[in-house]
Amino acid sequence: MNSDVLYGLINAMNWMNLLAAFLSVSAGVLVGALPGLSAAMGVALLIPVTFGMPADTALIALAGVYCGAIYGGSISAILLHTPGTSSAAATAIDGYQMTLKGQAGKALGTATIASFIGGILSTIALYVLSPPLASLALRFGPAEYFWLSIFGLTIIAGVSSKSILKGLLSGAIGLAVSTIGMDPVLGVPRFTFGVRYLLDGVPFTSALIGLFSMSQVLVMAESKLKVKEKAHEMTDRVMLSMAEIKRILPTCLRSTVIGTVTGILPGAGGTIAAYMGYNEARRFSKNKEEFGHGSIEGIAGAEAANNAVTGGSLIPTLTLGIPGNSVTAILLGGLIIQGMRSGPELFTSHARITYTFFAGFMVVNVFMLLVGLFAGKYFAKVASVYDGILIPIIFGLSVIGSYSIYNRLFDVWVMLIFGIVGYFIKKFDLNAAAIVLALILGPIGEAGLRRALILSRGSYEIFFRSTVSLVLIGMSLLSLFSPLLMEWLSRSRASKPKESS
Amino acid sequence: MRKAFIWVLMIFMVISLAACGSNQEPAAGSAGETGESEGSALDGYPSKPVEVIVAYAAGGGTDVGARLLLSEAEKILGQPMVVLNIEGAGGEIGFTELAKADPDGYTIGFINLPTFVSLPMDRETQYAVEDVRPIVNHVFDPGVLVVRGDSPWETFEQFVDYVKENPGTVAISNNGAGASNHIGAAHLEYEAGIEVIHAPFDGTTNMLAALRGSHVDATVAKISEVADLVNAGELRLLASYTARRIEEFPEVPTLGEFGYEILFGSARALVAPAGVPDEIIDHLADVFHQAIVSDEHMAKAREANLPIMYMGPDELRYYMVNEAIYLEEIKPLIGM
Repeated sequence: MNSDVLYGLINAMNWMNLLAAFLSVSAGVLVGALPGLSAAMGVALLIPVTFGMPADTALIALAGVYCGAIYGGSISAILLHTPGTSSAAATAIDGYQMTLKGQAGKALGTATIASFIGGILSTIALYVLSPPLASLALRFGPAEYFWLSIFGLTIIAGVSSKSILKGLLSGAIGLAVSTIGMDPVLGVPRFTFGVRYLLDGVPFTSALIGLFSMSQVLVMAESKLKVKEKAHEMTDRVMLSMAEIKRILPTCLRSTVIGTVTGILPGAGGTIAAYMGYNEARRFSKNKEEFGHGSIEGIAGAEAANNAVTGGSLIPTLTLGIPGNSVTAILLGGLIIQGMRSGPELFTSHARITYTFFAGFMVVNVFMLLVGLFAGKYFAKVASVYDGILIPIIFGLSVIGSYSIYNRLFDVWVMLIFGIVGYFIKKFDLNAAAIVLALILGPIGEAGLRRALILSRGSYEIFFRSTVSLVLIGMSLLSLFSPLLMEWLSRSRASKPKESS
Repeated sequence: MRKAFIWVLMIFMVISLAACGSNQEPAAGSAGETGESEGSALDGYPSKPVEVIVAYAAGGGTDVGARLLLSEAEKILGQPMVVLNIEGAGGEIGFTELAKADPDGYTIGFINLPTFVSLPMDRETQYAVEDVRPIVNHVFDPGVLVVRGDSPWETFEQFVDYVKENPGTVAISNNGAGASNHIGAAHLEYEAGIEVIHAPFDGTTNMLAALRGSHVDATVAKISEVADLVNAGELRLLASYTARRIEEFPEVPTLGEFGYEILFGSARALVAPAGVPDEIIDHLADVFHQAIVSDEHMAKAREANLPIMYMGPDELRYYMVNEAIYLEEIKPLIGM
């Protein structure tokens, strides 16, 4: 086992993997810095490119774009007050205030260093927590997978903070689409209308490219092409002093824990983690009055948390095959394309590839630090690029990407249709992440339910037999009522000070 | 006028093609045996890479075996053989692409038996068994009955006795409803007069994970899928679906030894679209024969736990017809 870890460390340093890490991080930062382009979109577009690569290089490249994009979002959040990705929204609060004060460099430096700390520490969680969780995977039978998917689906209610109704509607759309394809137990085609390409369900990656990339093209094309606000000129260096690093370190560590745990939980992603990290940073800070007016602790709190999500979110994806968010959902697709399945095999027969990937994840974070410190301000210039240039590029990449997965024109049509669907999802303020989650969890839940009932000859007792099931039921109930619980908690907390005064 | 021009062009093309053919060095030792002659379909074949459709995912069992053979065969063929993984619907999507491909000898593919023959019996498929013609058989992976290493059943008799006493309580996982392992398990159930629960999972990995995690009690699998786990002591073989005992596991009895004459396994063969001319089929059969019996290939196959069984075109056709007859007979009996 240990020799595989060591092999991974050495193999990740091989020039091809280093190059893949460097290029993908740069591409990721670019995607993240461009407002409107998300991490999910970057990873979805990269998957077809990784086909020809060896499995470890391909996975490192995907992780590079993921981490780079989550970090890159902070650049435009700080310089343009427009978060490049939604998870950088909390960074914009204090980041832009610092820019207005002429401290853009310091803000960017804080974001870079905090992102690095969050990312690299979450990798340790990946190393330590994944193998035991993977061996636990064998204890997941049909009944346990059923409850796991139910748990994932309950999260949708929590994710869709704006309107639970719209979140549930999005989930229902995803579940409906997921019924297309072969019946998992009887082997009979459902809703395929004689189209043989639909026998395995709606082509997943093409659908995601449509939902996340193509829809953005439509949205951007609709709003009038306008020259974006110019990024503020940076006057100071992208660096922090030792004293400042010391000041943000406790915040970074706290946010790393928050981010990693949030990442492990299915459904909750970088955005939630960033806000939680930001709030906790304020709660513990000695300089509370700085928050909202340009606090480096605020930036660090948000950025360490959203980058810690990257490592955390890979844990359930790799071990149980349950992706926590839409980016890891796409990553899971890349894993399957490379002939690897989530579960204990990743740490036995595929151990070398897996540990190379883990080590590559660390390398990716190091490159992210270097790229951020030395080239961060150049990416800021790109963030204000004209939409007229961006639209045809994304459009082209979407078409090529969806075509090249199976070399079929059919997948391009799927991508275009889901692009239109995604456009209306944005218009009606529905939740694309909830759709994707339901698309993945639906078949797992259905197959689990039906297989369990076959094994038990129709007795429902099987669903309450194992400890794993009971734990999952408890977690589902908790997550289902968590919005109510949170509200109650915050209300009681808000009322307490009044009582004392 | 235009027609005449086209004719002239065609004559030029034929002449130039013939010239190409005679310029090309025939692949070592193949020209004489296949009876190549001027103007035959073989002239100049192959002048470009040959695409080989694999109807399953890259990195899976079928894919690994295919790439292993093709890397040897392309040396003999003199042109690259490019794998196209067209996966989906239990192989149907790839099989359909193969059946509908241009019959020019530049698209061939792997099929799995009995899956290729059984799919059109189970549902309306977009290919028919007659849409392809056999080239060679490469692998024959015999079926086995397997339980966990810590299972109370040490022998096949103990297993059958237990199931007879407790009908309908023992669950056997398979790799999909109506898939090969399901047929194997159901056939045993019928012959032995026992009653088990058939649990369909998606694919061999999940079918075995269910056994290893104690969610089912036994599995019908292919020997190559479980050999490593058996050698590691995690799983135990109870019986094999073969005529003779499996070479690598001589202590494992065959079902025939208990009076159940069930032969079952999965074969992987190369086929071409039905319209491909005889000369090309013969040439390819010869190339693959040489590749299969080569020492390099056999050594690599041993390393990969791949049980090789060569069959020529006629033998393979006979095998496919027999599989169809067997399935037609057995399916109604086992209630499928």
